[in-house]
Amino acid sequence: MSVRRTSVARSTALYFGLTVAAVVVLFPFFWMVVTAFKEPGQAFSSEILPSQPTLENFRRVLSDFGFGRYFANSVIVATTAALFATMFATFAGYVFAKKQFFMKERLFTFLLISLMIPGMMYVVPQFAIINKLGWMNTYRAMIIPHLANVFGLFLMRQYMMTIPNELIDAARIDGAGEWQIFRKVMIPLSIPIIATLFLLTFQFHWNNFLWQLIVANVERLYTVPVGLAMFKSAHEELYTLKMAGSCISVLPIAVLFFFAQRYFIEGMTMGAVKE
Amino acid sequence: MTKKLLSATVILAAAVVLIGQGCGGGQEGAATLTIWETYNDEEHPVFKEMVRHFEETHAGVSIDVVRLPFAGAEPKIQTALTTKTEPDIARVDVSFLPKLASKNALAVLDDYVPEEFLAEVFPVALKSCMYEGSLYGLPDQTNGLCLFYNRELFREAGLDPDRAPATWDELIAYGKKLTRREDGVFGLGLRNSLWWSFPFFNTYGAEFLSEDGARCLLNSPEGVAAFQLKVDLFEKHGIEGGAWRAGGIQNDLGFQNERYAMIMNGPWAVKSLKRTGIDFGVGLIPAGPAGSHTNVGGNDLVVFKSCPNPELAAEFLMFVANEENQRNWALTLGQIPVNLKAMDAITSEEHPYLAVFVEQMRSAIPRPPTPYYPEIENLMIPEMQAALDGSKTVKAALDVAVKEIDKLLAGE
Amino acid sequence: MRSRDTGGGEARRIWSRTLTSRGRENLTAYAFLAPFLIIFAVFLVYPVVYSLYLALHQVPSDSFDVFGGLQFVGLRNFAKLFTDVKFWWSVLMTLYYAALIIPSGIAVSLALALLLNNRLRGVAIYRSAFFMPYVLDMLVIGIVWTLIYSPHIGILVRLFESVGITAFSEKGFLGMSSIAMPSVVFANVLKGAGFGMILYLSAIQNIPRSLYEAAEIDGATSWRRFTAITLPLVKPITFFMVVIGTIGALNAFVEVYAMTSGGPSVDVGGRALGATWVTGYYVFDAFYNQWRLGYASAMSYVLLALTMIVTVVNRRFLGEKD
Repeated sequence: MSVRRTSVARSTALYFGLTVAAVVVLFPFFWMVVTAFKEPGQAFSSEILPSQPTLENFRRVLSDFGFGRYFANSVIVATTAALFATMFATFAGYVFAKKQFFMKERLFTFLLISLMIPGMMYVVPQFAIINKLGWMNTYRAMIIPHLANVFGLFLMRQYMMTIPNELIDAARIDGAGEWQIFRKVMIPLSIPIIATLFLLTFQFHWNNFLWQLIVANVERLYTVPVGLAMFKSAHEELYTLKMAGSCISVLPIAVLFFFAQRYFIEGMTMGAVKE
Repeated sequence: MTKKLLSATVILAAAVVLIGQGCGGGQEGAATLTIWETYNDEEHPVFKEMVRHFEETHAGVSIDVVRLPFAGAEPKIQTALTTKTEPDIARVDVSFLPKLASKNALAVLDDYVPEEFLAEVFPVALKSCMYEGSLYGLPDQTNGLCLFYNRELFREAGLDPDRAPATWDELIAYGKKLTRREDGVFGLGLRNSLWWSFPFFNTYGAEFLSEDGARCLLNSPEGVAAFQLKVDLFEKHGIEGGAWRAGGIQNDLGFQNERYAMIMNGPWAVKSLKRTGIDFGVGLIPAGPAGSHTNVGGNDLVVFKSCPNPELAAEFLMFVANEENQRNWALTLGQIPVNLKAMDAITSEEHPYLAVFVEQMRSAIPRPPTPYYPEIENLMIPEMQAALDGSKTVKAALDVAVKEIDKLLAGE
Repeated sequence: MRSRDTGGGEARRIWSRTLTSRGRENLTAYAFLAPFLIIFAVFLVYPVVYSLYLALHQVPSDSFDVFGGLQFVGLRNFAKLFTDVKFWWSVLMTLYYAALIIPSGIAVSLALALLLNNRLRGVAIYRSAFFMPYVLDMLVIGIVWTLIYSPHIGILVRLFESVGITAFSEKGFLGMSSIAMPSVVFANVLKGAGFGMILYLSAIQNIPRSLYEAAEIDGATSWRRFTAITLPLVKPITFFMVVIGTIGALNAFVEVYAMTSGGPSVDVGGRALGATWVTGYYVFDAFYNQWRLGYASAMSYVLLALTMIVTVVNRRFLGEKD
């Protein structure tokens, strides 16, 4: 049709649409950042930019509330957990995608059902196990119970199903063993979904409040979400401090997303397209 | 890539195991006490200092203080209790103590706290530590609501900035002068929970629960009249700004932003309000037919049954509640002391705000202890909200709520 | 000696013969599955079984012992659930929530994807921008939205006032029972749309251009091309979105916790109930605030049954098969 002729008008309209959408979608994020620079009494004021921006909130979060320590703990917990959860889901996703084995379908159904039970119901029994194992007050307690990520397994399986079987057969003919097939064929072809899952599990652990509070009986093991909860006492909530803390806590995810973006987008797509 | 990934994994795995082991366990000692507390960031250092002082004066005793975020403290304590990993001492909200006591989680302290000491403790606060006739803790903090008012807005409206309304009728008259709807300024901002409504019920002489704790009495004529006043302030007199709404501007923020000329608030608010530079005064809760009576909140320190050294733990509780520490606590943080002798040290000349709170607390009415308080709040809130926004009459709303609460109390 | 040797060899041969194909495949499969399954068995199977056990029990009123000391109550928790108005109301609100969030989530995701499916400079930046909110913490986002939605001084109320609409000024968006739920949904859709957008975007980009060109030659309008080509070809994504949207809606509570605590109240046959009182929030409340573990478990299982029913119905409805 007349794509070329209207292209200037069209792209202007598109940019307009994109910008409006971006403004709307990013508004809460923007508001969070702005509030972090406001005086405590101005938290609810409707002025777009604070008339007297202050760094006081950030200073208090970092010095008075010891966010540095929380941050370090969260990095350790979220990174390790994301790494292992991704690894285990990759192993498991591979066999659910490419292998036939005893009880496969039933097992898969059972795994999916476990996904539908509210996560809170797991807290008490999991805590009992941690206690039996003597893992209280360890990073292990924060990390290990969440390493079997069923949603991740589901994504991984869906993605790996799109990898042609011929590639696996060819490798087998060349004499590759099971492990080699996995390492040399499946992993390189699954980097996008691996990056994706890493980001998603990282985010989950980065924001996990209740569990990380319950298994830590010493403050030096507190993580960022626990630290953020400190801004609320019985009758008061320190909104501006909370927003400043949130701004800081968002940074690693933003950085991670920025670098993983390319993989991430590819990974998500393939994972879901093949139903 | 894969190789690197794998080796990184192995290193990390090793690191987790090592770090994990490094963090496990605690020191063994004959006299170690672990305390879980929920103090805010101003109170926390004062408390730590108190703990240090206790350790100094008690050779061989070491105290482990763990600060919990308020929002997660109760689930954490309850989860710990299921596996018997609770601390020796915890600081809990007064409404949580009856639940812990009724579930046999707490040590009875009657044998460890002498009568003479109990006589020093502020009775209103001490009541929150009693459950079925036994002592289960000592208060470490008590509070109740008073009426805060913006002196500047009072002056602008031609009211005496040194005098808070003494009765509800006076409050209505003041409120009408203070409200300027077109500017979004209201005479009053109120919250909607049950706890925040007790000043209304108490000034009308409405009882909360029956003597045996088996029935809720809030739908009595006094209760209905009390809540009708709260509704009228918003609906009929138009002096309340709807602060109680879900997502509304809360009373304290509205007060800071000069949207509400008067609010009810507790002593915790004084410090942050001073920081904002607002010129404000604090007065007693306006009197109703039964006089001026506020509600009671606060926290108690409790000792768990599993504590191997309840005598020492009780000694620590008494240490926190003694005259010297309470005076220091009150004067440093501007809070109401729980020790009667310390209360006497607060004069209205030196501590104008705090003295009002202390006076108000002397006639405060504590809630009767019930293990079901959170559930009761839960059942009341939507009904009270329905009455406030006019979708139900006060009587109808309270009747339904009371019916549901009675079912709950009967164990259904 | 010799015979024993032979015997050993024989056994090995039989072993390896039985192991060929199926056996070996099983062994390899389970070797790969082992780390996942071990964690799953220890930390998830036991809790799932335990929570079913809990659903049939009640925590005794005089102790915290939820392992040894539980009282068996049979199906009493379930029986109580069936007469609990608050529970059925929560189911209704959950369905309402799902009915709002799934289609609008899909629509917004698809719209963003279509916008991005153009050769423009800087598309990658927009793509990142749209995705960004997805990785933020709902608790924090929820607080920000309560600030935005608040009456009188909230930025959104101000915005509406500037064009002469004052209907929301008095109560704010979360204070009006009729629009509290849509407001919660709106906040959540904007947060999650980036995820769906990426799914749709790549699916759309996988559609061969020739299809569109052929349609264009036939004189199809762009709307017609969208409904006849794009929509059917992104159906797998739509199905996926519906499934995870259903699971998400039936477990939703953080957004409600952060924004409305289940309120504001609406009158339901004489009882005041919360306009955003979804089942996920009820479970949270029973567990977190009231420590009624047995009841919370029973709710979880009813919720699970409902989730499965809804999923199956969806499948039928969308005509999808695995």
